[in-house]
Amino acid sequence: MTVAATATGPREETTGTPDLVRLTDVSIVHGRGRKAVVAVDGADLEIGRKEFVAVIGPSGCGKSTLLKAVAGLLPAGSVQGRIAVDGLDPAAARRANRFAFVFQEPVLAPWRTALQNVRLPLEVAGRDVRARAGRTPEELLELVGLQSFADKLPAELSGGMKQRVSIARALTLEPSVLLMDEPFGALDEITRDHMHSELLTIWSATGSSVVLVTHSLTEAAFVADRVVVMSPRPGRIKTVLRMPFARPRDPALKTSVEFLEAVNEIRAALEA
Amino acid sequence: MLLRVLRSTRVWLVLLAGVVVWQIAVTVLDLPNYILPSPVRVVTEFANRPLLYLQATLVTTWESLVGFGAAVVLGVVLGVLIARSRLTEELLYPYLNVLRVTPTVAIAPLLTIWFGRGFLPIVVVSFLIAFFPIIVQTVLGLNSADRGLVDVLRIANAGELQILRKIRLPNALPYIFASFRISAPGAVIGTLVGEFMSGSQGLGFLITTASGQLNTSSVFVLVVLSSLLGIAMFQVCVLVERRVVRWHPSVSL
Ligand SMILES: Nc1ncnc2c1ncn2[C@@H]1O[C@H](COP(=O)(O)OP(=O)(O)OP(=O)(O)O)[C@@H](O)[C@H]1O
Ligand SMILES: [Mg+2]
Repeated sequence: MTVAATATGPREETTGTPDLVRLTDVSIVHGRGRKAVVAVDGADLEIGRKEFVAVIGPSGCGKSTLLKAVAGLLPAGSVQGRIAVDGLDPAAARRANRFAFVFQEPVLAPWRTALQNVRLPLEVAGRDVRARAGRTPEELLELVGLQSFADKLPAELSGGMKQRVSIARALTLEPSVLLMDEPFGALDEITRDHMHSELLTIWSATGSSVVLVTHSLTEAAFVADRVVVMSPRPGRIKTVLRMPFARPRDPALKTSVEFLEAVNEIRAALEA
Repeated sequence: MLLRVLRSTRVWLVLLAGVVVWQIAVTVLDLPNYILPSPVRVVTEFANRPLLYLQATLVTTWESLVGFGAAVVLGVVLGVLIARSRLTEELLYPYLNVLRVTPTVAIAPLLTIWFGRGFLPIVVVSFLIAFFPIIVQTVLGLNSADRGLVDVLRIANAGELQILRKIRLPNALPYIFASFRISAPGAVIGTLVGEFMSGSQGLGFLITTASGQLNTSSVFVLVVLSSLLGIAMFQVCVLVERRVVRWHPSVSL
């Protein structure tokens, strides 16, 4: 099988531009006193503009914690070291609406239709942010292929559809950084494969960097420019592997030899 | 649809059969009227003095509505304060708990001493019975909002007030309406208790006078009217609930 995927390096625009997210010696402690748990220990990481980074590691190694720290969702004092997003600290970046978060479960308001759910962040954002927002909620629903389900309640949508709605919602405020915590964990293999391609299409149509936490080696290798491999407790960044596949990536890539080698490389790094 | 008609008519048939048995039993056993009046006598009693009964029903309805309305407003407002502010929780909770475990019937005479006879003590008793389910359910509903959903709004830079309005309150609505199913008939019971103690009109007041005169058929009329009022308040709440929280799984369309 021939796959035009041997070209090396990520897309041109990610090289040379200054990093968007920069973690310098970040340690995160949950709780305090005797019950304190060191969730992340001395993490250094740079994420470029429009870069797609996957984070992989054993359960409990602090992946979700790391994402929350970047989004400024953790209580003050639990994060040591420096996190800068476009030169801002996480709280300021959050106030400037630089982030969006997609969770493992599609958390939708059950009393709102798909479209109203996508509109939710827009309703609470400041006027300046609203003016900045590029795509309308209707357009975003179309982007995730759900324009004909705009008026359906979450209860009337399938799991995959719900997750697509929450991805559309995450894009409403045009975030610079899209943080995704195992967004496809609850989906079956086939829907997952489908969502990978869709996510890549959506991502290439937006200007966001993506940090995607996953347990799936294939998922990490297929979607990401770079894969961050973490070690178990306390969570440390072991290695960062570059996925040298050209974009746009075709699903056929998943069966190519190069791809399987990359997956094995990630597995070796995880088990090392 | 047909099944539903059948099911609801079946309920009526069962009830009707009960009334027939009642009538037959009273006739056959030749029970004195002051022990158990026959259905026919109860209906006749109502037909003899319809205005008296309707007027009393109106009074009790009004008092129940005011008591229930006050319970809804205060229950939801205090529920929001308790759920969202540590300080109000610490200040209010002990008192609310004391009030909750105190039997309302025991406080009712005290209310008459404080507020005199009439409208106010009656409404207060009605309120006290209707209030607690509402505040408890409001707190539960507000705090059980999906944390992820709250985080989604936090990341969109929403303030606490916006999170309350967009997430917590809508999330609490099914809980609050569930409490209405208990509180609305509860408000009627409270009103009746209040009228027993300090009323000079209304269904509860008439029950005390009629039972004092051993006018049992009149008591039966009043009991039936009281239950009908409770059922009506319950049904109105359910109807509103169906319209407002259409999305909730507990509301089957
Ligand atoms: N709120 C919290 N309070 C205390 N400890 C926590 C809290 N959240 C997470 N932890 C601890 O921090 C560590 C990292 O948790 P985290 O949820 O970040 O792991 P994870 O890599 O996302 O795991 P998984 O892959 O299972 O989702 C775990 O040991 C966990 O017990
Ligand atoms: Mg996690």
